Amino acid sequence: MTASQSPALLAGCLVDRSRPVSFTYEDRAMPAFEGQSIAAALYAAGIRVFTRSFKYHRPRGLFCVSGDCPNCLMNVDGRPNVRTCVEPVRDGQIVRHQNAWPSLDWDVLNVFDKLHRFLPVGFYYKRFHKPRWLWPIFEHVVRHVAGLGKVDAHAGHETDAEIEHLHTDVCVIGGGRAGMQAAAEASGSGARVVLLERMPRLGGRSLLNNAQVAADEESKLLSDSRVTVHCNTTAFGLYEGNLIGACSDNRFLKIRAKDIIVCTGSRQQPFLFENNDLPGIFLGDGVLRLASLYGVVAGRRVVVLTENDEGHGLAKQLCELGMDVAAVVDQRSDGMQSPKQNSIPLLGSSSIVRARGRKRLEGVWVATWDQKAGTDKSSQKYIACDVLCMASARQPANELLLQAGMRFRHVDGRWSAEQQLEHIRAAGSVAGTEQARCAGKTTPTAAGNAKRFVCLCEDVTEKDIQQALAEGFDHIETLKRYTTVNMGPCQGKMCGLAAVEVCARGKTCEAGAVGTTTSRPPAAPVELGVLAAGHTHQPIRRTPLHHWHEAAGAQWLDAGQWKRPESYGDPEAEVRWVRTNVGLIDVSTLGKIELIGPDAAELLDRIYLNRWSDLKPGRVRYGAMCNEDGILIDDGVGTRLDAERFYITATTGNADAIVQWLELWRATWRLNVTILSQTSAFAAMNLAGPRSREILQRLTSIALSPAAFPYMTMREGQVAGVACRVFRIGFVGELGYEIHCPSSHAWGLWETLHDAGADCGLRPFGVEAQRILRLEKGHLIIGQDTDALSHPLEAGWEWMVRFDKPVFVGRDPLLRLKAMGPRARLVGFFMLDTERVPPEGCQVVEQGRPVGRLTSTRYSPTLRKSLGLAWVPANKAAIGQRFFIRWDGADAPAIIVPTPFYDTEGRRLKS
Amino acid sequence: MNTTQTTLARTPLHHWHIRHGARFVERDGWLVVDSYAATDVEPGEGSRGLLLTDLSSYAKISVLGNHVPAAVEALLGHGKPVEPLRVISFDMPCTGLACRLAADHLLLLSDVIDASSIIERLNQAGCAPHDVTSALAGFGVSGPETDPLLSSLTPLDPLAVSPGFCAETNLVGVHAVLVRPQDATRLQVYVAWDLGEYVWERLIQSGRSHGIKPIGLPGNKRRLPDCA
Repeated sequence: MTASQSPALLAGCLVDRSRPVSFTYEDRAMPAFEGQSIAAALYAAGIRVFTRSFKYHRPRGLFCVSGDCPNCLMNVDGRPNVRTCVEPVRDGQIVRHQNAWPSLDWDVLNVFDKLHRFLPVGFYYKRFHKPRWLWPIFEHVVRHVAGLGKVDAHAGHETDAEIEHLHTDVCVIGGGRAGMQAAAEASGSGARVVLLERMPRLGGRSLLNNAQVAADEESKLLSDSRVTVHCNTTAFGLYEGNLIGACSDNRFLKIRAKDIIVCTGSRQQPFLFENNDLPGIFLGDGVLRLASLYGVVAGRRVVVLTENDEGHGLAKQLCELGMDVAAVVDQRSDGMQSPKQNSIPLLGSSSIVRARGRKRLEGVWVATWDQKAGTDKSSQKYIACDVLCMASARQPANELLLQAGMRFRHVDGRWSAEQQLEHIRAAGSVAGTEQARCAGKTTPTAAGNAKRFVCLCEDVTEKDIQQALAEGFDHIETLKRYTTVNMGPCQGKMCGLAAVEVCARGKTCEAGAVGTTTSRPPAAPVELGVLAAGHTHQPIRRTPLHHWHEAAGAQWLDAGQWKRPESYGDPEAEVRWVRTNVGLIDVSTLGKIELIGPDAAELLDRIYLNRWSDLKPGRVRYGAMCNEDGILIDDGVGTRLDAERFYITATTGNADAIVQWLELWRATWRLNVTILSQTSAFAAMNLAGPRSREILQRLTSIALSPAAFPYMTMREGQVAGVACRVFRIGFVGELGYEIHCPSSHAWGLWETLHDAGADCGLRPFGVEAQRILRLEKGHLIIGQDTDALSHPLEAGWEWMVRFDKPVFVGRDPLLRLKAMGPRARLVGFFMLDTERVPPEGCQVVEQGRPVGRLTSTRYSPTLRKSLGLAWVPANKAAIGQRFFIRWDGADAPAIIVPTPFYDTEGRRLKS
Repeated sequence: MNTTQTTLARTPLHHWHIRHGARFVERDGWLVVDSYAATDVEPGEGSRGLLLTDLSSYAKISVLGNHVPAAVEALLGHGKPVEPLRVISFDMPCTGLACRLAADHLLLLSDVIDASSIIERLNQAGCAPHDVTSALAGFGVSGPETDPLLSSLTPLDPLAVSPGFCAETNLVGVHAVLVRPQDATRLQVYVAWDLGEYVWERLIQSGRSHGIKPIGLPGNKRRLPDCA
């Protein structure tokens, strides 16, 4: 019988043979049936090599057929590293190999398999580091030839993944028989139950040998209204507070359960022998999955290697599938309770010492073996076969339990839960292996250059681990980091136990004394697109005028979560209009905070660099604040509404952080003040330009004359019938009024202002025009013109820092910085080439070495010059000093000039 | 000079309502949704599916800090303490709900748009009330599918918010206040004004599979049912 004949013989409980599908593999059309995995369909079509290994590019074939090992990773529809053994086949899918060139069957890089003596464990720590220039070249080569699939950076990787929250009394992870029974019991006690199963159907291992029983239990559970079953759902993390992270297609599930029952079962482990990675060597469950789930028989002639009774049951099942079982090789010298079945040759006290073949298994050498005496070479016997099944004792699939803090003990070859956790329980075979191991999975070390792979993911051999131990990496955690065992796609599922056993033998101690490595989420692979699910639905903050801007053709700028109009088409025209006429900008995104209470002034004195307690009601003050290190963190204007009430603004991106900052210091100093965030409550708009007074006066009874309403004052009153706070301030450097009104009235007020200013040509302007206008005025923006090292004494704000205040945040470090003197200065500059605008962030260079950087640059339509702000060394910051900007590989000259660049005496602002 | 021109207040969802065929009415200086042409609600539909109402126009008042006990006393009278996270109804000077979000935070949700009478009473009691009507967008979600919908959108189990309780939590990635009056199938959601449209759209989008329908204020006959 051949594999390709098998679909006619086997149904495969996940396969719907009435629904054929077609996909392409390496540009070849491949037939399949709905429900089959990609790998099963390829195997049925005769494909045996599915991947090339990580380091040596050895051919690898299907192995676990459960999505645990790295042997079936392929590129599917542009997604690399898809585990094709469990990925359902879909019509039109495009499947390609990865990590091989030019093809899987003939991979040039397989030459590394011959060069293995030059690539020992940790070779990249030892080789090619002298001379030093060699390493970057070598590293580049290593990164290209080793590894897994590559993400196509040019392909669109958009995802519509979503986060979904689930709440339940009990969450059962794993839908095998133990899981189904646990769910049924919990439901019977009246609990809401969520059951997670990573396969398309419930049943777990019972699908492999008793599908009907599994189906009956599944249908019973599905009809239970208190149980919600999520198939095709993989739990990958168990976090504090009984939070379970799981993914299902494009959904990221966050499940909170009062109780968690983990029923993730157990898995077989590979044996160690020479060439134990050849295509055709399977875990026993892998062969059964291929047949029972997907209807594909793995081969014709099979050898079963086992160490327990399960292997004999497996041999019987394989016979029933029509396979010719050439022999059952049992490592046990005693305790073999299973009788010889159906005339299957039984080789006791024996083990496999070597597998033969190149791109597929051809046969195995079996020798009598004893754990103490080793292999008897004279007894070697060759058995031809195309499939080898390894039916070892099972290892609990306990990654989630380990993440949760449960510990397992390894005693007499048996792993069992050592410590119970509150609200988290283990049930079924994950709680402890059903059968003890007899001899260990490792035969004694072979001589010569034979490769016995401990870790299939990273191509770590037994010899590598022995060498690492000899070099002193004898703790399992350091051994892991040095050899990279357990660090590949399987995350120790296939190699964890073998690594421990090889380590134990090297250290001549018990495996239990070696311990295990730390298990961390994710326990199963999760696509980054799913983890970033929240990103696709980032909250959008819209000002009350959002739809007005949209209708006016605004081009949008993302400012944190806010959408702001960057411009309405021509920022420079908007600048000219504000300078010569009048414009209106939506500044609702400003942080707005009210401080109320007898200690409000005291708190502001302690937070801002300047003094606020002497601010009179109705006056406006500009202030900046520092953190405890004296670094600038925010600025804004504020006013005093009455003796115990202040209203301040913060920069758009900092609004929430500043409220928290104020709350922190209020609590620290135990001040009697209430802090109220008003950012959402108030909209704000800035009417700016020479004709702004004329327009505003049409809508308000507030006296607007320069004498009645001078610069840096605030008036409360009605504008167009809406109660407003009007600030006479000018970020853009023109006569202007910043009007704050309740958000609910913003639309009406904005439209009324536009109507009132129509005959004056009132136009909206956007953030880009505002940035040019403020730069012309030399106003800096915290976060753009400052960074995490900028302090006010260097930013030109010495005048603001009131050291005569006994306390304010950042006072002591600023005193020290003052004593040290400035290292750098923020200066204004003109480019000598007045038409060219260097990009922000360019370096200021001196004799070719960077000494500063540009923070803001623009072309000024008003001054018709290219200008900006830059940090330069303090001793090079004199007015008239020239400096050079590294830009496009050349050094462009600029000259330091005084700021503001425009309206230096502030006459327009104060007019 | 036109200093008295009246501009009607709008909820943050005004343009969403326009796009979806809402008919508006003026009420106490606000433009509120009367009904949607496309989604007339059949009698009894609220008891089967999921209805969503824009409540942003109703007055909301916040009392903070050590003024909270005095505010409780002023509105509810002596001997009626409001434990943190409890929701208690009041009817003087107008009807509404008092939600004790924390020991030092009381959120008053009025059953009327003009809440000047509440503010006046609280001022008289020296409670320093803050009108947060324009700070918070409010939605009413009602129907048997309320909890299944919200359950998928928030890390807090909505069932943990029993009738007569409130909670602050994360809803579709933003801070939200959930208030459940006496009726277990109704829930009120309050979020920042500028996030109102985002949250509303997410509720509509996620609620499609639950048969969600937006309705106007008159359809939601009683916004704030009595609480114990």
